[in-house]
Amino acid sequence: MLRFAATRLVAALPVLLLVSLVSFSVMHLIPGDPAAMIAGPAATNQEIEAIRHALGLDRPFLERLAAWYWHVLQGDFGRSILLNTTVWQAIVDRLPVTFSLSVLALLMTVAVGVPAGVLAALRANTTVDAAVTAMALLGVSVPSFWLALMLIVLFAVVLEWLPTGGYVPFAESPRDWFRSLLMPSVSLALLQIGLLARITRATMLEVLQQDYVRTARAKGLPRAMVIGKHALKNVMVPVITVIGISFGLLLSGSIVIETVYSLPGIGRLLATSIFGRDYPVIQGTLLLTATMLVLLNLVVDLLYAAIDPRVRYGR
Amino acid sequence: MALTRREVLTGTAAATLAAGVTPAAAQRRGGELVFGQEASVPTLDMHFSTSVATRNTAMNMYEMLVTRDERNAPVADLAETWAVSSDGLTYTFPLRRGVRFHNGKEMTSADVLASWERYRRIGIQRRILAAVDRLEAPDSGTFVVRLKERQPTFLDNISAFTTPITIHPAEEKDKEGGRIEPIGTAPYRLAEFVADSHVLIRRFDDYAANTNHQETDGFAGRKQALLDSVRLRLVREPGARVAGLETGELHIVEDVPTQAAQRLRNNRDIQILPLRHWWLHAAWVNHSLPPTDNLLVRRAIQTALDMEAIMEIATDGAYDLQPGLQYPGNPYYTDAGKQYYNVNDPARARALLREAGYRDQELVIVTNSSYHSMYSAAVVVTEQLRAIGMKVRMDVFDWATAIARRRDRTTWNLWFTGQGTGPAVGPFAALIDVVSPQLNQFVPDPTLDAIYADLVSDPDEAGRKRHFARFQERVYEQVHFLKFGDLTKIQAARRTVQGFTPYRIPRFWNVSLAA
Repeated sequence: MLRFAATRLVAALPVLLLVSLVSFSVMHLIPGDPAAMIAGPAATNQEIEAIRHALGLDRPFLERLAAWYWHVLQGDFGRSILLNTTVWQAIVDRLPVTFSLSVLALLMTVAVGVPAGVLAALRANTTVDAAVTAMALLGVSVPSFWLALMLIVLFAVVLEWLPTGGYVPFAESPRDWFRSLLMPSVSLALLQIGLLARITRATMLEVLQQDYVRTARAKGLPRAMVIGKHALKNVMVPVITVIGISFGLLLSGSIVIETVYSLPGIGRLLATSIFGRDYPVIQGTLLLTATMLVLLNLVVDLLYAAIDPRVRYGR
Repeated sequence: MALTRREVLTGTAAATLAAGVTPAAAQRRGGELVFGQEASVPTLDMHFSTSVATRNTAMNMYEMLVTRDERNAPVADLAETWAVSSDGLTYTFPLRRGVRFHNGKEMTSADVLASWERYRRIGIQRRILAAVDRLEAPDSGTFVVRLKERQPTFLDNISAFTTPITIHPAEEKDKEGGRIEPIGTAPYRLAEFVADSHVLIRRFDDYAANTNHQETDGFAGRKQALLDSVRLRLVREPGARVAGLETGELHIVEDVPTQAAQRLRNNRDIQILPLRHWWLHAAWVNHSLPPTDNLLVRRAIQTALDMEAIMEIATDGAYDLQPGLQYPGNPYYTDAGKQYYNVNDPARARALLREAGYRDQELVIVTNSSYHSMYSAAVVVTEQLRAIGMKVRMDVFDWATAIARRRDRTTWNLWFTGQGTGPAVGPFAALIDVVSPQLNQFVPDPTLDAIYADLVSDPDEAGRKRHFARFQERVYEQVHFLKFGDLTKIQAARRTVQGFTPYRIPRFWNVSLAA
């Protein structure tokens, strides 16, 4: 298994190289640059050129690309053009926000999505199934932007239970940290719950038709054991794939949710740096996101082997 | 029902006054005020930023030698006063004594000299110091500026707060743009800056108030930090800002949508604070690219536009229509050229197109999706021009791409923009883009250049005002710029906030929170 993991990590290097190359090229090819943004629309060409020179943006494309790779190999992601800090620091400052948000949203997704999907499958073609399917469809269809605002109106303005937005670090107050992340997590989780419940339901229905489930029932095993041990384990293989993808997306940051709830996370960092053409931050954030996705995929693959004894790596 | 401009403005005038009149002596000290702002603070280096969000925060941390008063006229702040030599070439600024930086060091002329030298080196608008020959600090309490040539607008230039010449400790002199330590002399000092989240500023207990004044006067006056701290929180989403104000998590918010303002007006805990003439909506006109290289086509466009419809849609009803390229109340305000403004005569516009020999050439409008009001204005203008028979294409980009496009004369005819601070700080920077060799001068207008030269060189203020009226008339006559109207920025505050007077940039001195 270790060898498999090592091979996968080595194979990921060209992927990361390609991601960074494409993002570097695309960002530098599209019009607009940070010098013009810093100078404002009323600046003269001369003033913008002076800023470009000060920022080193007047150097040839390949020279800048080579310099960037050289520094990254030494663990230096460069300095943000707009934030007066290093790229690494900018990311590290925001990672706890996005990570906390993602983990909470994922926990809610799994805690609600999987049981809902299983329940719908066990009560297939009943009112319960219809209700779960309808709720899942609603979760997938409702725009997260609208939902987030409605939650603010209900829980912050009308009931005054939760804050309207902002982030409180865990170290400052665990209670306020949880309160600050509750509505954003619910807003994010509702979409994922819908997806997960639908996948779980479909897979569970398929598994319940399998011979080994029929055999288990025929042996007289308790229903809970048939469902919990024999069926659910097999359902989990595709479900874990979906969970892995969802977690990867959550970790990349949700621009909409972070904007509405005023959370200083990775999504907002990426959006702000794209609009301001803060090239080093865009590069660093995309590379980090790609790395996280690669690692998550690896973890998901390794989990397959843990859940399904038929899956073996390295033999 | 939508809140109309008049409802917003008249229904709240009393509240605005009430907010501003509480005498400082009756105000409570202490507490933290939370201000919800819509844009992220990119940097706290004012020499190197044109960002409004930076100004909102940093103008409460830093001060200038000369700044602007309530009417936007120059007024001494860190300088005690100023004296101009008879030949107009030497400006002497005696400094206020006992002023300390946030690091405890006393401010001297060496700090002023170093700050100005840094601005000359890296300041984004360092062209305002182009006429400076030498900067001198003959003694610790005096700063002297010697000019190469007489520049009657010198005080207007150095007091403008578009990219202000803020004063920092001399040790910051060699720092590059954006790398400065945020140390100033103002009533509030930086406590915490979390990018994309908030900036926390705390009362500077060693602040030396300017005893030459009795109360706030623009960015000058007698400033007292009554609050313990001010937290400027980034809340981008307007709905979340309004919700934060309603719950009391935020004390003051900016950019309240007109629809929400109507609801808030019924809330007895909240006061609406409109800032009229906050932003001038307009489009630059490219004279080098057909069909707008033809004056008659430009006139046809100008004649066709219905500014009321454009501004109503663009601003949701929060606007004023007036032809001035300065805001009413500014010393240089004039309505010269008003006969060209808001003509709204499609029949005459069609006749002008026929006279111009217009034959379906495509007119390219460039607007952006980053500023909703600019985008909406462009949509309405596009339809109004199509209605007079023009073939119009609207290109929509993000702001950064739109700025880049503007520099390419072959890609646009009308470029949609807005000007906020520029017109507020006076006529010398407003519309400088149409004067050679600035950005929009794709086709030089020698007449306009000559008028501008008169404007900035006439030593007589009355003369300068006459030149500016000629300048504005010429801009309209040649259609260098299509002005649509003035946007009202709606701020709102909890009633517990006392002493907060709406201004172009929020000022947190002499502001308090009621118990």
